[in-house]
Amino acid sequence: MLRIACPYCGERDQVEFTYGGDAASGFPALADADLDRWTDAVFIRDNPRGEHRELWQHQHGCRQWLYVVRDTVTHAIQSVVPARDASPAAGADGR
Amino acid sequence: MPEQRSALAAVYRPGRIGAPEGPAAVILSERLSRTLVQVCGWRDSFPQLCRGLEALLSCAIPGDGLRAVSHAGRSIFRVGPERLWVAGAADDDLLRTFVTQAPGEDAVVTEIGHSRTVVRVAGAQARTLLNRGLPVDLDHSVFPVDAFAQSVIHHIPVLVHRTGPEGEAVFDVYVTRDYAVSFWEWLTRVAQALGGQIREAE
Repeated sequence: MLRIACPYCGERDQVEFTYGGDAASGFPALADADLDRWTDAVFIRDNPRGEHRELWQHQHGCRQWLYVVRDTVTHAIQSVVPARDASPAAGADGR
Repeated sequence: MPEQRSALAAVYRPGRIGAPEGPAAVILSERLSRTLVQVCGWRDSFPQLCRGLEALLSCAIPGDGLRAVSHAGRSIFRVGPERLWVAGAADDDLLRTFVTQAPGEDAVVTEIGHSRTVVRVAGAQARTLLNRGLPVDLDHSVFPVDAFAQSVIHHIPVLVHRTGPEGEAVFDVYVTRDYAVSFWEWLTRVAQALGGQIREAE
């Protein structure tokens, strides 16, 4: 069970959150009709061992989307920031 | 404003539950005489909106989602970065006026009292009862008077607010109306094991 420190509500239990997917992967421009790029963006995911940037929504709390950096081996959470304060390109920790 | 009809009308039965005699470990009551107003704003203009609300309500606006501010019979919750709930009595003229006034472009004001059922859970075992389903520590040292948490009980979204008086375990639980009966069934079933009393709705 994860405990995620919501920037607005404090540290809360995983049951309050919904996983929103890989935060590091972006999508092509809507005008981009290249099927391979869209297939890659929609279906293909890395399965990294270690640091992973991901989106979570505090669905039963403040309803805000969060960028979370989590270690997939230890489940240790390194950082949590509001998604609106971090660009997807930069990642959850601003790097 | 139309008369509020309880979502629990079909299942609400005042009286003892569980142990038929002795002091009630938990006391449950529905709070019908409440109104709830949601105020939403935008990031750039929200501080200014809060200053206006502070002048209107004569109290500070909470800065986080951890502690409410209670003043003059109202409780103000910051339920999101730019979203507030103001709970007050059903006959609170200031709140009623506030809802009907045009808020301008800096705020969206919505009366949402009829979409929530408020249940008061009190008594010596109130914390034990809620913590059978609530994944939030309600100990007074970390959840004092006016602390609140938006969370989930029995897969049902709730807002739990610790009200006064100091030193007593009294919690108001705000539940979405759709799930009020399911929540009530869970609450009374767990309360049966502890021994409790259901009071007339306030």
